[in-house]
Amino acid sequence: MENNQKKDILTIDNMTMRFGGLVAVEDFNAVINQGEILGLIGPNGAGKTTIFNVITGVYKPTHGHVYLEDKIIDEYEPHFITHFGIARTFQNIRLFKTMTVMENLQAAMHYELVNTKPDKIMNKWKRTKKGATDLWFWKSVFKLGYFKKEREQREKAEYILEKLGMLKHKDEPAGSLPYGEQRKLEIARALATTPKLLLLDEPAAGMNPSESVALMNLVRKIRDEFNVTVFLIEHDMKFVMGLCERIIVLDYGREIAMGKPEEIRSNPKVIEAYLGEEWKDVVIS
Amino acid sequence: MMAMEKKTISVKTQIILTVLFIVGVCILFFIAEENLNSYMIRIVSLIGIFGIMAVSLTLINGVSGMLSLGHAGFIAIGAYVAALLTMSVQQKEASFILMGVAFPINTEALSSIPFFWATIAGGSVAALMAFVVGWPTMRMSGDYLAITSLGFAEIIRIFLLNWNRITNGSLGLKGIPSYTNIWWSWGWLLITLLIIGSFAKSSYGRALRAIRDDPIAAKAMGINVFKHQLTSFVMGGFFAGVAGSLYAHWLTSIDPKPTTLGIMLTFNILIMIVLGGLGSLSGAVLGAGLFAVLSEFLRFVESDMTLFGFTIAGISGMRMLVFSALFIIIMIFWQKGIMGRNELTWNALYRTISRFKRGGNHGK
Repeated sequence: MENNQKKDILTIDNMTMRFGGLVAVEDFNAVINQGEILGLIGPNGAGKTTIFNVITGVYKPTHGHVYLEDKIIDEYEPHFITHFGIARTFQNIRLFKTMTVMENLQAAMHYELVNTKPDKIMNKWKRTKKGATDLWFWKSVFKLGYFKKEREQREKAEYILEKLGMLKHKDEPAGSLPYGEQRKLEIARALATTPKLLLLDEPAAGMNPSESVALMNLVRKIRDEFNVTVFLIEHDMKFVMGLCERIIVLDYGREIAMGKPEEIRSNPKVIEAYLGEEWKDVVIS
Repeated sequence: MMAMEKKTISVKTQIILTVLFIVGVCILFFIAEENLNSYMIRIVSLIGIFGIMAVSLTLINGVSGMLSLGHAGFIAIGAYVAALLTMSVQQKEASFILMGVAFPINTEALSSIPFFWATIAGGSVAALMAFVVGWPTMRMSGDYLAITSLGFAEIIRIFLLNWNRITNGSLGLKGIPSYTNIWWSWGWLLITLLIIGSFAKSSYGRALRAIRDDPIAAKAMGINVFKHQLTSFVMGGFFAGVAGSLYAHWLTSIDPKPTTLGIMLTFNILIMIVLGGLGSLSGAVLGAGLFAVLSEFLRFVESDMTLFGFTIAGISGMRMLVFSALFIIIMIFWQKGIMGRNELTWNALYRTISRFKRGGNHGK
């Protein structure tokens, strides 16, 4: 058990991301352990979402690498990254609005039908057998063995929705759900891709205190039930301090602190980054 | 509160109803062929052809959310390929008066081919062209894709206009055998609806709609956006080619003018699918039917009229004015088209009927 806890799932090694002359993230190192809830905080514009975008393949890092279980993933397209087992939610909700809740989850499971062959070296990541794409294309059109797959998808989706307490909404259009439910649906949709690592980009944004407490419990529950590792960005300090086991603090693209919530709370560098130089002594004393 | 129960019909009943519906339509067509004049029958087969064009564009435009303005290009390719294959050698020799016929198409082997296979060939070449065009353009989206696809369609048309020894240049092809009848056009419409409908309702269709709603999120959910959009583009291209073949054998003479197989045709199909509801296959067929019927039967407004004893001379072009006004009125009342994004299914019909039976307590 102890050994299992220490196993790292994602390693970011000396990663730098530049946009022209602007350095968004510089020399960022991080290790995410299996099964933990890791928080990433920092003032606005510190480069938090950039780090998420690098992990999920939206940006290719200027320097350095991202490893998922010892394998480089930073050179792959975003959809491959999902096949490897990393799923994410978005800061501004990006649901498939015209589709129902069930369809949102099924769309996230669609990739399981499709052959993924990123690289010969990456053979280990192959999810389905070769040629599955063409086969499933024709099978989908002519409905051969298709209903079974469809039923399996629906069962899995219902299981996820039930765990998140959203089963009653399953046939409603995603766009018509209340805000908090839409946030939850984003998490549910990410879970539908069977991830090992779940990236949550400001999951509690726009939530009232009671909702965010409920979300805290939900994230813990998800971690245990679905056996995922959670890496999240959040501005709500109460939420981060209450939920995360470890926190990384970012300022101007550089990591300034890393550790347990209580260590972060009293770290002078963190206070300086958030409140400015002159407040440092006041808060600590 | 009364529990809301979902009104549905079992799959078996739906299949039986569908088969019965198709048989019913077939009987209707038999009666129509016996009783209607040839002009009316031609209009009915035109509805079928327009239906195929509209359904194939709906897959690209409505389901996948790619604004493609190059549909007429694929239709033109299908039309030319199929027409060249079904025309007899003598017919080709007679009509290619500009520069004569080039080698491969003046042989017996590539002439007087059965209509079905010529149509398949037309569709296949159009699909191939859709692949070639789609490979670079599917990396774009929105307005950029619209302009690029429009450009590609024009390139195809210019090719047809200038490749004299293959396409007979600006004279076009004349004397194409008049094969298209109700059965061919509606039979192909049925095949199109079955295949595209099945595709759009499958997991692939869901992925395409996900891409339409939010491409970035779709990518993050593991969907290969480029590949899926290209697949739907090629599929739409195939059926556009099929429709082109049917259209060529309906018109019996085709030429590369913008009004016959050019930009005007694309816009007409766009009108059909917007009228029927973007993203609805049954809406596309409805829109196509409405378009074909209105554009033909509004001809009476152009004839001389007698109002209050005065005779007003017919104004040519009046038809298009009334036509446009009618469309504007329809779009005011149905802003999302007649069907919106809904499909005309047995379940939907059943629900509507049972709602009426209960006294419309859900109605507005």
